[in-house]
Amino acid sequence: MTAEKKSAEEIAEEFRHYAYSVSHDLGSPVRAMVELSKLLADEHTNALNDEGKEYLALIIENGQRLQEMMEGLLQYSRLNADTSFVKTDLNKVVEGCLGEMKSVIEASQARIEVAELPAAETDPAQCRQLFRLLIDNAIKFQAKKNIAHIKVAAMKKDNVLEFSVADNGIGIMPQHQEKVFQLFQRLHADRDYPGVGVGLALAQKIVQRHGGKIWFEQSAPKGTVFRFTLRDE
Amino acid sequence: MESKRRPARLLLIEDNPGDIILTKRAFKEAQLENDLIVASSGEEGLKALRQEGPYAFQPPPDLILLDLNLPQMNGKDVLQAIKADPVLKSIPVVILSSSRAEQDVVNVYALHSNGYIAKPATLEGFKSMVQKIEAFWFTLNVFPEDEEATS
Repeated sequence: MTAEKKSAEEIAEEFRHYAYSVSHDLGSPVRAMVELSKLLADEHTNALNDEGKEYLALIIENGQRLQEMMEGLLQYSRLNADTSFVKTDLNKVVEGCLGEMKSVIEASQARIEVAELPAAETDPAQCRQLFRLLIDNAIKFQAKKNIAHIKVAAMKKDNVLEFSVADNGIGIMPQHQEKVFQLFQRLHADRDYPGVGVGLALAQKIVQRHGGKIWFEQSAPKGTVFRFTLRDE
Repeated sequence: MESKRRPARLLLIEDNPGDIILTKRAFKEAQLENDLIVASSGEEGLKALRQEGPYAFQPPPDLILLDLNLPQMNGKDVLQAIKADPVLKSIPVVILSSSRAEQDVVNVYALHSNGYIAKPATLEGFKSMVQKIEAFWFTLNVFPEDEEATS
């Protein structure tokens, strides 16, 4: 039993180490590729015909995408590191999160309603990141010209606290319940909704670190509601 | 103290040609007057510091920028060699690293590093980094005067 448990911990540690060094050690060469390509595009553009310029633009775009993915992998692996749980007032967590997101919220004109939230035993930094990921997601996945209306709420169910972040966005087909939380999994073309598919994977990881579950449902009359649970001690 | 200021002398110990170009460009574009010597391995860096071979007439640098991830003799080995050398140990060493891992930071400070900078992701970031290096190390900070200047 102990041997089994230890090996699971070892595997987790190994993964963390692996993801960390992959992200770091790949950083240098990718940075050189992207930045030197940018210099080429800025300073030697006359040496290229239109086709060449297009290829160069694609090299830069894909390199930057790779950098974003590596950053995502790094964040994901970091969540396996120490988590420190303390009694947390989630009203304060969401308040801090909205403060951090001020410019994004203002730019999108999103309307965000936050109901009274309970206190729970959490890692406050991870929790703030969790709300940020879900609210970011709700702002991002909107039909063109639609203004996001987001409601954050919580309720007590037996011995768990269930939180919800509901939006009026484009919605997610129910068959994507699993897929949407997988790392680097995306449901839309980059030209419609740019991104690398990291946000909800991170959200799920944070909830799991807290011993909870996360899922989505369709929201009435349209949109998505993400729900997650935290232990109510 | 009113001696005419000479250009800052920096030794960059870095093996990645891309990062070398970005650092050189950043110094050039920031229009900072300086002498930047590049050594592309830890062994080469120590030769430069000990004024051996092609570096015989190269005066010692004011500041060393040291990449952590070097082949063979890695950044930590080089740092240890510098800090164990009674002459070289007083030259400040700033680590340049792609890693932000807490353990790397703790380790190099334990080896008497004088600073730790996480490498920026872009050329713009490199420019801002060299400006800040300049602002702190060569404007705010006071170095001991050159022996030849004081004697």
